[in-house]
Amino acid sequence: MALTTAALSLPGMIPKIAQAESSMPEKFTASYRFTEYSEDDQAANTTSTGESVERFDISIHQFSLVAPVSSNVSVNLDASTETLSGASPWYVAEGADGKPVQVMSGATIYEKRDDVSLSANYFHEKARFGLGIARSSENDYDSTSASVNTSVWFNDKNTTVDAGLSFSDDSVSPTQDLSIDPGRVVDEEKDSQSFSIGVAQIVNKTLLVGVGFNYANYDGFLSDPYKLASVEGVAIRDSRPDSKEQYALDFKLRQYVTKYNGAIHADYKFFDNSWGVSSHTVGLGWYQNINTWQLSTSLRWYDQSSADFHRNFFTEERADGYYSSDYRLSAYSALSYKLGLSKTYDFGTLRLSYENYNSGEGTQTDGDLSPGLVDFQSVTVGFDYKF
Amino acid sequence: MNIKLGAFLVCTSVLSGCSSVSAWQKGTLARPEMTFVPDPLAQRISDHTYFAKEATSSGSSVSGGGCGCN
Repeated sequence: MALTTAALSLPGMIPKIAQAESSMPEKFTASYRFTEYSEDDQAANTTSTGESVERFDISIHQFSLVAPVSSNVSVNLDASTETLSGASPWYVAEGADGKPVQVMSGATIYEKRDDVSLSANYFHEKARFGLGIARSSENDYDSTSASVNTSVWFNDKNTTVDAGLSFSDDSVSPTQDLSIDPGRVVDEEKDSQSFSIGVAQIVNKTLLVGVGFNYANYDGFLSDPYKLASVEGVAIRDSRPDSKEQYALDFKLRQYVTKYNGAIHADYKFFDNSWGVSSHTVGLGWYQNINTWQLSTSLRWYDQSSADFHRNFFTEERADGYYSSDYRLSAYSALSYKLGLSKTYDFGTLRLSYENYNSGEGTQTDGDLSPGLVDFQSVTVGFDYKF
Repeated sequence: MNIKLGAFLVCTSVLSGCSSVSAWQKGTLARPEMTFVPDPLAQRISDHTYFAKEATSSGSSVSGGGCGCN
């Protein structure tokens, strides 16, 4: 159950879309963020026991240092540590009325994850070259990843082309007692490769747009070692294909509105993978400046189809032998909103943000929603200190 | 997928034909809220959360290739 978080250690190393004004940092920046993440309880009318169950709470500390170590080389060091506790969905069963009910893992789980990443960028007049490595560890999951990426500027730096490759090598070693769960895997591996390319374009003095493409493939153990699926009333192991390909196409727009001293953010992403999941993500935001304060508000709408081998429960066997009742692979939609407040000083910035995320029926939902879908809230506080 | 890749390449060539803004005119574009990701650290947590709760991974790198099983 501990695998929650495994290794999102590299984002930021390869920008989703190039930053048109990427440039060598002028000062050292030390940053810290603390995030408290809390999922709503699993409601009593959705569980197999008829009782509500606490789901996950996570506390996260992030540290970051950006260090311009010479006139054209910058080094970034990032580290984070998080602790989590709660119960997790195990599988979905058919309830007395034929509706799906969530069977929970039972015991409250306590887990810790640490990650560290190091990257270096070399800035040339017309290009940037970057290298990065990262490591994430939990007691049952380890991930090591590396990336190489570049930005090239054209047209008086009005156009930026970014490209990157990254690789990850992960190992899964479930911790649950074999005497309790004799069927589970012991040690498994998976690896992945990803390629990204993006272009950002300054359109005029107040408008920036970007488009990005990402392809990734995964090989190895891609099932959830702790989850089960109900097939003809019998709970068997979650089983997924041992390879997956995916791609994503995303668009971003930033428009400054001089009259109101603020900026519009508009984002869209299309995603598709070889398991049958496709999704749309739409983001809209407004950033309002008020002297040295900034207030931001944004909405995010997400909608996905289900994986080919996902059902709440299976009433017959599948020819390919793949089964999952994991809510993440179900068809649903989620709407979240974020509020942010920051205050800028000579020495840096203080930050506070809040997110509220609610999932429900989506455009691809056909039948009963997964009872395991999650709602959560999170609060982040922190600062950036420049010196 | 080839069609989508083709469309992407067309988009990028169209974009690169835009007019030029001089360095001294980029003050507004340099504002924090005009970056694609104004707060990268907070965004990292958001991406990580979405990765752990949705079938779509961040699309920015293979990281997040973890199980995300809770």
